Amino acid sequence: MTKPICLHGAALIAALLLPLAATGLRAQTATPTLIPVPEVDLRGVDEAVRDQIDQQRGLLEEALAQGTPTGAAAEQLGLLFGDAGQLYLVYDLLPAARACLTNAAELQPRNFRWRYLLGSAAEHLGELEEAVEAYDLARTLRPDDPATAIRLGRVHLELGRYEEARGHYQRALALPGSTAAAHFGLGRVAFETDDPTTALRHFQTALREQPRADSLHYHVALAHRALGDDAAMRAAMELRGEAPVAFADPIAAEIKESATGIGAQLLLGRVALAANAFETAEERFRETVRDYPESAAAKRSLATALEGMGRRAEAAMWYQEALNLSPNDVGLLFQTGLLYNNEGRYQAAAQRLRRAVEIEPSFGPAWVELARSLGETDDHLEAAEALTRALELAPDDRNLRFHRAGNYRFGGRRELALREFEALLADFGFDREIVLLLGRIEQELGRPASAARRFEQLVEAGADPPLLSQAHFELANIRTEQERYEEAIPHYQRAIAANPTLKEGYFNLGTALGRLGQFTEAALAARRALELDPSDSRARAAEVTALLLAGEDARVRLMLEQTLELPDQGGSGFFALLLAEVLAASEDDSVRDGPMALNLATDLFQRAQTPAHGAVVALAYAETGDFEQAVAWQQRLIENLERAGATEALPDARERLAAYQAGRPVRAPWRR
Amino acid sequence: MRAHTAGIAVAVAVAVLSGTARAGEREVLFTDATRNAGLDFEHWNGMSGQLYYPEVVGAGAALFDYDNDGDLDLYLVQGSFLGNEGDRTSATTPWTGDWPPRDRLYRNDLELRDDGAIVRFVDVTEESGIVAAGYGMGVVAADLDNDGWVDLYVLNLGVNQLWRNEGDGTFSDRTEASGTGDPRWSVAAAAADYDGDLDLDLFIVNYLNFSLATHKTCLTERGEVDYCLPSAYQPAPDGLLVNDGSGRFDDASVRAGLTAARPGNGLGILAADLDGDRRLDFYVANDLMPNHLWLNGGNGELIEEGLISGAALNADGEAEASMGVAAGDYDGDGDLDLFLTHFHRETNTLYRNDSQPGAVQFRDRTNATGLGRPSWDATSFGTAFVDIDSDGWLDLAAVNGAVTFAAGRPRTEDDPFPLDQPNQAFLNVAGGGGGRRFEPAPTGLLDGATPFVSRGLAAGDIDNDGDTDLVITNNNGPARLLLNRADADTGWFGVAPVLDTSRGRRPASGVTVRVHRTGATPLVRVAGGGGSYASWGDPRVAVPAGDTRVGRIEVQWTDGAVEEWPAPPLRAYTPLVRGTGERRDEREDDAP
Repeated sequence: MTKPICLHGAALIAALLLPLAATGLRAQTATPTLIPVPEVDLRGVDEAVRDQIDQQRGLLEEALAQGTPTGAAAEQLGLLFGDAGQLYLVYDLLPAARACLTNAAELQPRNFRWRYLLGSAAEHLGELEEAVEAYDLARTLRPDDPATAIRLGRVHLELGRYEEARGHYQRALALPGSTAAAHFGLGRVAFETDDPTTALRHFQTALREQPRADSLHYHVALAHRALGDDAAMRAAMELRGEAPVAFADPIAAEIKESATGIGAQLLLGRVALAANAFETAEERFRETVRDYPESAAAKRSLATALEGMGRRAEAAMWYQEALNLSPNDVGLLFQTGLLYNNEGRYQAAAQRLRRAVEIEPSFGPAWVELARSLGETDDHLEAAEALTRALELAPDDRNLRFHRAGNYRFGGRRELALREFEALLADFGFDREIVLLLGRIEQELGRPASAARRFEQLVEAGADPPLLSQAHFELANIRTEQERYEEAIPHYQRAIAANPTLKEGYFNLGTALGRLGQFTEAALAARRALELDPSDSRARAAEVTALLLAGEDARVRLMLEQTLELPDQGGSGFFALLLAEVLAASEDDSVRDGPMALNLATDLFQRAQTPAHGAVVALAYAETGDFEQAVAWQQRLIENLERAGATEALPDARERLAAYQAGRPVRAPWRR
Repeated sequence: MRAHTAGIAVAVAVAVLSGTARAGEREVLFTDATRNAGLDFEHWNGMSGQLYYPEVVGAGAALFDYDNDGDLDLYLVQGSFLGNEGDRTSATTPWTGDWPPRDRLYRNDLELRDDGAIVRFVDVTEESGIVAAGYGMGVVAADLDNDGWVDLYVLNLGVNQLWRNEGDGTFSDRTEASGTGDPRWSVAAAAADYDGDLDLDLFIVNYLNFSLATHKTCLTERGEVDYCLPSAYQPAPDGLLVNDGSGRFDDASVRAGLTAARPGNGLGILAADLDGDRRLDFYVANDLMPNHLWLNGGNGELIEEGLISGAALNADGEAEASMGVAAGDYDGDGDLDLFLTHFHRETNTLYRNDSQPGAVQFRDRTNATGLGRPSWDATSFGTAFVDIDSDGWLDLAAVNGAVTFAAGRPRTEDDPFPLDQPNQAFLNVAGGGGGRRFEPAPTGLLDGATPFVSRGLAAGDIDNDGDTDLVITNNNGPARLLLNRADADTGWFGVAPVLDTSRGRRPASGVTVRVHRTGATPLVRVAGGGGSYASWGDPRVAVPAGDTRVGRIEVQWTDGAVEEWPAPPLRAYTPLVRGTGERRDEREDDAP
């Protein structure tokens, strides 16, 4: 006898008290409760069927044995329960199907499919009240699903609740693919409530909408009979056939399809997939695609396997193939969008995800992924709008509100972002990350005092080192901008202490120290920044500048010469010009070298004829003693500055001209 | 006004309590009197593990007064072994009695006491001379040779048998002489006067073209071997045998037009005037095929109008797996409605009769009357409109048992026939479609301690106390006797429409009885005519006197004649003999 799946033990039940998975929608704060799956007796069942069921429940048991799943694991468990429920449904094992689908719906409360199938299982079990409840919940997730409307109408009809049935059928009238079935239902309601005139009208309309549903002639005939039109009744009865009224019901069709060979093949692939045997899964799914080229489910499953192996481009192609067959499958649209997002193809992702939410506005995860696509393409305000739609479904979801506030910020709606973050603090209590963001937004809004208060609040509250480091750093920057360097420096130092790899902290510390004339310490800070990132030419420039100001000309010449021997890392023009200037104007006689300075300066000037370059050529001529050339270059420089209106540079330029005219070289101009 | 009084004191149960339920203020109760009454019949279906289809179909019972002593005796139909007789020891449940298994006749030695009646069934099969050893299905009890003694017509998988009641406690096999030996798989029949000549003809319902040679192995969608559904076989055509008045029958199937309709997998039949034209019609319950409504054209022709009338398919326009059928005026509007029992995951179906003169019309009122959901899980067979709580409104009884393991439970060595399901009763209360709806009585009311695989249901007043008792037959299980203890507190009266008393008593079949009351609509009942599944019930009618005055009793005979009698005495069955009442060929509506 096969081992039945039987979750009766108290311990196992306890293990099944799962926290809700992180789907981005965390509205359901209560811990979901799973129910035991009734024992399924598979004695006498065909071996192939038993294998399918055994494999499916083996997967479930394995997942359950891993303890309390969270996040993606809980999502996966929901899928496994859903798949098991579908399988039981296919093989008419309804109590087990109902339990599995109940659990799937509990774990994935926003998954329309599980609610819908749960309704179907309950309906088949004759549990009509339960079916209504499940279909009602499905309807909240996908208000415009025609099959749900029709089924709700039908169940209410069977319960003798004619007004409710009429309401659902009326709603279905406007939905694509269900008009004929809606008219049929309305006709049934009218006929059962002794209104054959209305019934006849609806039956005839249904027949016009769906002429192939020749079973409708029977109902037309009975309505004629009730109205006393015997001839019309007989004429209609003559046309009666067996074809029922159809309506768009893709999930039911898929379940029906699962009862055939494709279901078994897909299951084998899914078993491999669940065991992370991606290559086996790929092989199974490729076989299925070959055997059932019109099956969207097969192509989608193949895409999933390929995605699992990281072959995203191929996966994307198969997702698209599946979408071509089933363009309105929201699950498929979502999966494809998710893949594109992960690939960084945000516009393509947004296109699929937009379609998904158009079809199923209650598909929360699709709104969230859409927001991601839009945010990544800097459509922050649209992203915020998408998150608003997701929040309508899960109003208490903190993460969604957080991300929406972030999108408000980057979309330029900083006041709105500020209010949202503050509301989050009010609703969920003190949060250091939010306080930090509030400080930054205050800065962006030009409110340094308010910003500083936020950062100080964070510092006072204490935080993990990375966050504390950021608070000190932001506070130090505010003080630096306020030229309150003495106050800035300790914050930089604390920022660095909390995060020793904070390069910007070292760099800005160097700047603050330099402002206070502590050039040696400033050079040291710049050196630390450079050590953290040797390619940072900005830090290198800060270091040599500080050293020059500290009078370390010889060291600077050596550093510059070494730097210029390095492969160009950016900034080499600047360093070369600085070397020329040091060679031409250092106060240290051992450092100066007029000919070398002149060669270097004139060479640089050939490449970049800027005032700075011209000024260094003049310095070099003066150092070689050719004051005539020095005066001529300096005069041209002054003329250019005058033409450019750079009046602030003119006093220094004229002072140098006077020196050259007096036959005096200029020394250490950087100190000015 | 209908009778509606405070709860009555229930008589002390003299047998094992079966169940109670409350319907409004009225308590209903059945006691399981099987053992106390000496009813020891065990049905044996001869199953051998081969899952031959007939094993699961099951047999019925007849309640009839074979000795004309004024109480109901009981005939129970037995199964047999399919396959080589020499292999019978390989049956899953061995046969422990004398070989071969036979139908049984039980005489009711009813003892009337001041403190209540005592039912004692005595097995008189041996002295009766009945040797019915075929693979039995159904039975009809009717005076087929017009001699005043009720005969038996037994439906078999194989040749049917006609047992002539000799009037001395014995029966003789008149199958061949009567021309009634239909060799097909027959399940039920209606003995009723189809041609208005006041003798009883036989409408025989045949099921499938099954034989051991055509036996098939059927699989469920999970690949389990299971009993087949009827679609695995070809339907067997029904037959109409016309009585020449002496007990000899001619096959009138072609002449009457039966062959004009597509054959159905027939399991149940009743005879009654369903379209109000005073001619006897037939309704045939077909398994997974459209039901047949044979309207009597009055010229020897039967016209099938099931589809046209709306009584062939349910409200979805689908044919259902009909097993049993009952006719009764559930909504008190004076015509006969129909109740059909069905397979699991189908509802039982109530068709309300909305016929107008010249236009028979039925409408599915299952949803509106609340009968849908409660029957969804059950596979129902025998059924009857029964006034369980003696309030004047017809309730419903349906006995259940699955026909496939898929609908029951997987079979095991210890439980080779796990098809048992609880039986059900539905109490007629105010509200719903037609102003009435049905509420399920508590489970167990018709079961006792253990549900069985129930099939036949024969309803009748076995203890002559004015309410309706039930005999339930169970496939491969014991027959059970449930006595109704919900006596009518305001008294009751009974009538027995009889065609002739010159030689014994000739009960009528399928006649309509109307009880006219002052200040209330008439109570309409059918006397005889069959119905249920493979069973035959009491040909008499009993109704509670209630708190309204009964003015007169009207009987509509099968030749269209209508006669009236004044109100009969209470607490007794009064024969209403044709020709002794006041002739009223035009019906008059009662003044309220």
